[in-house]
Amino acid sequence: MKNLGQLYGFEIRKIMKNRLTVVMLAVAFVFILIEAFIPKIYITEEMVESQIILDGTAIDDSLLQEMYPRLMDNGTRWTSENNRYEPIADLESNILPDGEKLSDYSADEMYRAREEVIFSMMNEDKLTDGELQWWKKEYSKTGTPFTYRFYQGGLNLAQGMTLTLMCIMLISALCLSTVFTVEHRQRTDQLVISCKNGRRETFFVKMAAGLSVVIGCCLVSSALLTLLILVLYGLNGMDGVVQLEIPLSAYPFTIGQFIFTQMIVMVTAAILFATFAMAMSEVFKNSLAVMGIMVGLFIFSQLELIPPQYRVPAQLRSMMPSNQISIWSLMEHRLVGIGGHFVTNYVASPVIYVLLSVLLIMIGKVAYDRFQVTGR
Amino acid sequence: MKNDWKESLKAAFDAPEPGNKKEFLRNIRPREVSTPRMLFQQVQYIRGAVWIFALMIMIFALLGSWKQMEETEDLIPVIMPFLAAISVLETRRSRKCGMIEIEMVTRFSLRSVILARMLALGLVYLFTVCVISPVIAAAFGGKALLTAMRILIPYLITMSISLQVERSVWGRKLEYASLAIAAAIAIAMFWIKNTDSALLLGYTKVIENCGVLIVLVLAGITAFEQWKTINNVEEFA
Amino acid sequence: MKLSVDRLSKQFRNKIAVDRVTFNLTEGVTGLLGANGAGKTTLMRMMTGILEPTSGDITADGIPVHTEEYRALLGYLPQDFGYYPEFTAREFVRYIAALKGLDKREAKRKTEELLELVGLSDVAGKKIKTFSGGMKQRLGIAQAIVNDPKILILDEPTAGLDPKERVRFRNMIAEIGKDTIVLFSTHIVSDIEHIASNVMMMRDGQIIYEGAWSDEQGDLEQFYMEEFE
Repeated sequence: MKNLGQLYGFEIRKIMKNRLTVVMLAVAFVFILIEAFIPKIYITEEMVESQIILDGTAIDDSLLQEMYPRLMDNGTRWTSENNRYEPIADLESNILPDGEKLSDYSADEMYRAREEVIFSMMNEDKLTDGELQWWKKEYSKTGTPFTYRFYQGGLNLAQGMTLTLMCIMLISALCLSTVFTVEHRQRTDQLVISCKNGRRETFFVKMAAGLSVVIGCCLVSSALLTLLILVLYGLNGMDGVVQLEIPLSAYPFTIGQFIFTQMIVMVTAAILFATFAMAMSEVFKNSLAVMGIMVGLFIFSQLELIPPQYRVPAQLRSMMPSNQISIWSLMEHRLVGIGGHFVTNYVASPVIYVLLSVLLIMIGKVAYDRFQVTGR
Repeated sequence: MKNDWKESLKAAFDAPEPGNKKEFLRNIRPREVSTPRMLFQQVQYIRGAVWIFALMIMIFALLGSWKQMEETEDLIPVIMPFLAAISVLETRRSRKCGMIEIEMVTRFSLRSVILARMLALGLVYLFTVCVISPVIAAAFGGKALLTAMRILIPYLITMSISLQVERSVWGRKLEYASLAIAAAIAIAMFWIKNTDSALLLGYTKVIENCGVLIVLVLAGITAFEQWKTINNVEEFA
Repeated sequence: MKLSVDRLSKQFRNKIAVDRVTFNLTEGVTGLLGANGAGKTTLMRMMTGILEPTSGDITADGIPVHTEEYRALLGYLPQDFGYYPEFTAREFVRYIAALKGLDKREAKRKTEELLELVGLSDVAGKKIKTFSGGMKQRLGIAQAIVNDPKILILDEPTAGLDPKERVRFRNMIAEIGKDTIVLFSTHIVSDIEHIASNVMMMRDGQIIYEGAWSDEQGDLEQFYMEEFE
């Protein structure tokens, strides 16, 4: 009976006994705490109370007519008298062109303007007729008028996921890139690969251990962040539409559905980070190089280096984890077509991440199998 | 025949073997090596990857400014902590490679070696900041001094904390302690960049109002930590 | 059991480290003598499967060297091996036992037994980084024999040990060699004289002598010095 369980336990221990892992987990924990508590500084009780007043109100003509007389400087100046309308005014100004007077628009006109802008942006992104048809159907699923919900907790949670992803990336880069290289550095590779279970079994056990650590971190971080947000801000408004924050998005998601989708994408992104760190460190036999590549890729993926007219590379860039786990991913309307059917990036990205991870595992396995002890 | 004579004459008039040659050579004082020369010698031993990293940051900053990529201004402060970490790691290579005892008994003390490395790296990085700050400022309509401060603050924070930690017992056990610190500072910079605009504005205001003071204080702390590091070189390196 | 090495060669770029070596080993202790750079370590690495030969075969009762079955029979102590500094001696041996396919209970039992045998039972719970060179070497032998190997390969196992530890080591190897194929390399001729029933000498990648060494053949050290002058 193969004692893989024992080996797995030892590999987990090796990862967790690495002080760098402990430090990075502590850093991640601190940042999650900061991310959860910082909004408390500028979101006062007064603000919360005023914005909750409109919770559940339809954003229709009657609300807009109520708001317009109370706007100051076209919705850019807020006092305790009118700050309850700030989210509504922000939503409207995000839809309308810059400089437009908000009070010139009725609710119908606002929603029509929204539709025009969304489909105009889709044309600029070079969406095909098939994709446009697909979006027309999806667009109609989000009924108007929108219902305003106080969604501060949900928003903080969605924003916190971006930071959590960066923590997961750094944990993978700094801690998991040494899972294989530590054997070469400590010169234990000779002992390990001369053992019965030293090749295939050890490789897969190490991979499994690294993946477990990073998925565990991902889930625990998310759970911690969710718990803190729940306690500090509540999770009201999760059934509010995402258009309350990103009005020019055509996705028929609620905030809760969006967060759930992001969670799934984040777990698969964590798998990709982990397999990249482990496999590439075995290929290059250098954990520092892999750390540099991962941090570099994460940072450069933030840059708008690829113009939208180069659709495929631009879309691939938008699928990179740092761009996918972001509230702004709701503005990505390019689809992935498979045999006449279309799926969004939220469906395609996790699949691509998992497939890439499998490929990386295969590459890493080849490198590990080919390794021979020479030159010492 | 002629060649035989040539050989015989050569043998007859060959200079005798020098007497006490070894003693004579041993008594010659080694040539003085000037500080710039010593600095140049140490620069040659700093790994290429360190210079390449600094060069890449410069290229990224210049290219981003030229192409008007807005994120350039925000991402440079995120990368700078790693530059600081790499320079600290480079100066502790002696320990990492098990060379301390050998280097401590050579002609140039280990202190001089580490000082030279720190000086070389510091000068190059300062040059990098001096080049990229006005370029970024000009490209995005800011002030060169403000941009320089936004770049230097995360660098100096990372440098000062890393030097202190690397000297500590904890830092000696943890091989990439500097990288962990850099990662934490980078996350902080990234978070400030991505977070609510109210907080970002607050951070920018603090730099505008007292950025010079903050940089001076951090530079002073960094210089102090470097002085301590050089003085306690047996612990550090 | 018969360990067969058949026309084994290893070439690194323009250097032939092992040159068409052929020999068979059975139970007992075989000493491998040779100067630095003779090819001993390269030969041993190929026999443990951690280095691929350029040509030739290695089999143990017909089982090829690259199989899991072969590695299950193997115990190996490299010349310059590492360890996980944060592991205790006990954890290290148990980890290697797990790698060698021992189940948890068996691994636990064998670990305690071997740590007792090599004289490390009182420091079994201490971290390896606190160990002296001799203690690390003893830990190395413990991990090498944790799976009761049929083939034991030791690369300069007595290097760096003080005389008393060296004698202890030799006695341990002699005991193990009674029912195991043991091949150990060394520079120290007296190690071989005391325990090896079979001697192999290597020079420039080739076996220049193989067989038993008896007193009638003269002083082994003298012969060794003459051959490697």
